[in-house]
Amino acid sequence: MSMFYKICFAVCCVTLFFSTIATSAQDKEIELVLDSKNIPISGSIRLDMIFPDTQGMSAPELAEIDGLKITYLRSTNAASRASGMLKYATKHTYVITPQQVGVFSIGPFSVNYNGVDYISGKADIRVGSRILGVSPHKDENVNDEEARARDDIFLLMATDKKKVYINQVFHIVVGLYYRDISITDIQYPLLAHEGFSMDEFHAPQKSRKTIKGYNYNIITFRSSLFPLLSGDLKLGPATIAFNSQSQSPIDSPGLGEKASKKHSLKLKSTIKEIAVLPVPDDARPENFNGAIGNFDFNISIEPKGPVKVGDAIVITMEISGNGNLALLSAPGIDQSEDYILYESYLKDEGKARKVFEQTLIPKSSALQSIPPVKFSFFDPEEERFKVITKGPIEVQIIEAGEEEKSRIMEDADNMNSDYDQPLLSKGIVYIKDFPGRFKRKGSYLHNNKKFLISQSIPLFLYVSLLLIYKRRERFQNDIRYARIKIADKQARSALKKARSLLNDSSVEEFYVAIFECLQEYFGNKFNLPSAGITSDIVEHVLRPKDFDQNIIIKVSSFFNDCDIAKFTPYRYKEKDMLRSFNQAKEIISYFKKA
Amino acid sequence: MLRTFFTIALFIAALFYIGGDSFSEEFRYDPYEDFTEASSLYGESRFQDAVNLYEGILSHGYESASLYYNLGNAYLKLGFLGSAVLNYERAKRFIPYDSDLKANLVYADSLRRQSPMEGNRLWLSRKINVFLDIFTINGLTLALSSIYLTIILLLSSIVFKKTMRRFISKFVIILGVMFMLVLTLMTINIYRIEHIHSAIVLADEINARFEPLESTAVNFRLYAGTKIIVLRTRDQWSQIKREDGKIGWIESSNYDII
Repeated sequence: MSMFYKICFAVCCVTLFFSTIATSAQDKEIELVLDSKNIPISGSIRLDMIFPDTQGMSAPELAEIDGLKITYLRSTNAASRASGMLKYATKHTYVITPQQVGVFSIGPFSVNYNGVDYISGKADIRVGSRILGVSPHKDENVNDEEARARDDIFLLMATDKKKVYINQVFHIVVGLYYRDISITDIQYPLLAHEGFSMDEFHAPQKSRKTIKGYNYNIITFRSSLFPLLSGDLKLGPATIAFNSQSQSPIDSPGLGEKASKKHSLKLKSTIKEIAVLPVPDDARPENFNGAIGNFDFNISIEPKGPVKVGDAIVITMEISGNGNLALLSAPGIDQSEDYILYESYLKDEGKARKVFEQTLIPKSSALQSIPPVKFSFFDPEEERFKVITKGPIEVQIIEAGEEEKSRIMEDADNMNSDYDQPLLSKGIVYIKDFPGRFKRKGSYLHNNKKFLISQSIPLFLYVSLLLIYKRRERFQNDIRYARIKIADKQARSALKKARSLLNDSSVEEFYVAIFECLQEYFGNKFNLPSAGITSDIVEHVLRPKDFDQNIIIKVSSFFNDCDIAKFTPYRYKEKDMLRSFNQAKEIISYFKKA
Repeated sequence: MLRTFFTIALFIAALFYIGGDSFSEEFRYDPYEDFTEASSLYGESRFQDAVNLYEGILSHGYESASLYYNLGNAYLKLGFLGSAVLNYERAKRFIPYDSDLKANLVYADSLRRQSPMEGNRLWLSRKINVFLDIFTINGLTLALSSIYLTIILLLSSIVFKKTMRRFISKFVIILGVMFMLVLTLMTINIYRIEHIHSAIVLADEINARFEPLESTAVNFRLYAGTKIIVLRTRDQWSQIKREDGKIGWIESSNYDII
């Protein structure tokens, strides 16, 4: 090889070496992708940071920027084929929520990963004070949805009316739209509603919808509200907080699966403008008390038949329909000399109805009818006042007895004197004079020991009665059972008699008695005719029954002894009598146990 | 026979000996005297003094329907709506059918501020509660005892009059079904009292929050006299449920258990 080639080869090697070093030491660029560069103060945008040639890279912490809130959303791995080479990248997504109006710059910044410096460019965001267009109607809401359809997550707020009258109820829907991420711990939305009275949000509803080819999960919160002031009022923004759960691209060591990370997120909706009109003064009815909506009004009284002077008539007034029920008060009934009218009170309330009751006490039988009751309201759909009149309702009042009458008048006087007192000093029934029975706090009959014991007595008596009755019944019907049961008792009595004859040394009578005692005992015990029992018969009965052979011999010998003693009493002394007596006791005792 | 009766007598005597402590329990304090005095103070419109005396009786461990009723009245006169409703509700456990109590409770309820959503309670649940409220536990216990004694009496008569066995058996079956129904009602009512901690809001207006922390968002508002159910407590906070099913956290000092 010539010198020239050697030099060329050396130059190439040196160039290659330095170019390799230069390549390995080169910084890599982070790609910053923003949804939009111009956003309103109430909006939010997404920022994607793409790190080329990385896989499973953890999300970098971004430095705080005054006026912007940057929240990490998720990470994804991307792979693409370029010039036959497979290239990897990690994409970290952040949500940027502006806190103030102005121009903000994100970057440049650098991140070192595996010895490589990744450097970003600069991205500017312009935050304006412009309020996004009012979109109260369904169509406008659809437009909002479509406008945000590329976003992974967004919050929309819509109202069913953009022009309402003061106190007119309208509805609001706040919807959280999300796709491809999992969200948890969703809190109820907070809604700025200055100048409005608002109900709490109902329980959320979950649904799915496809918008521009993207499948969204939607969590919807509904509520109703009504304006308290007239003019152009702003409603919102609605803010919702939740946690997003994303699969981290970093493998969890030892687990073999992707670890999930939770991030707290807060989204804001746009602001809506509501035009609130005052209720017109023209043609306003005298008794109009602010009811806005479309209502029906009904009235009834109880009792419907004749009523004594001084007895109460309860007037029930029911208002039903669509409108602002919360602000409804009871229609007024005209005062009269003929009756006392108590203050009305709310008896029942439902979603679309309100029932008031008012008590009326007739003071004289001159009262013929309850005057008509008018209920006025403003119908916002037809934009005019309406008056519903019910009555007069005819009543039949009869005179009460003298005693009742005087009492009623006295009461009526008291009521009139009370009339100017504060609300709390009238309307309640007086205290009770008698305390009733005092008892220890929390003690009830069901945990009172004395009561529970007393309850067991009837059961115990019943069981005893049943047992006694059953025993008696068996005694009457089962002769064998009855004889067995009385055998011992009779034997005890006969032995007692024999004992006294033993003491008297009446040999013949003693042996007759003790013989009969055993005869009777065996007769009862084995259900045999007592009179004919001899040693042979007893032996014949006892042998097959597995009794002790010695006792059978004893019984046989006892009966033989008795037979002999009855005919030759002079041969038997007191000592023999005692032996026979003990023998009889022993036999009876044995069979009693057997 | 004599021995059997002797045994029964001995058994009964033993039972009463066991239960003797409740017979021999004597009250040293006389609540009747204080009750009368409190009632006359009420008559003189000295409501605060009357409340003090009525509360004194309660602090000695005694209670009665009239005591709670009068205390409710006195609180209402003083303008403490929450305490008034609380005591009326306590009285209702003894005398749910009392017309005076019903009237005052309705009146107190009409003074109560209501949240618009509060009325959204299930119709069936409301009806069931109204039905269960009619029965007192002692009333149900006595009803149960009466049915039980009648059953025992009828069963005893079968022993003597066997010819009427079929006829009486039908009655016993009907009474048995009634017994089970009353027993079920009683069990439910005992469960409600012992396990469902119903309470009344005492503070004029309080915020029920999402979490037991002052800094968390307000879920809804509660007003004096509102009936709530206490689900659990944590430190000085309690998780409560309003009648329409809404749940939130309030400070425990703002309510009292019925």
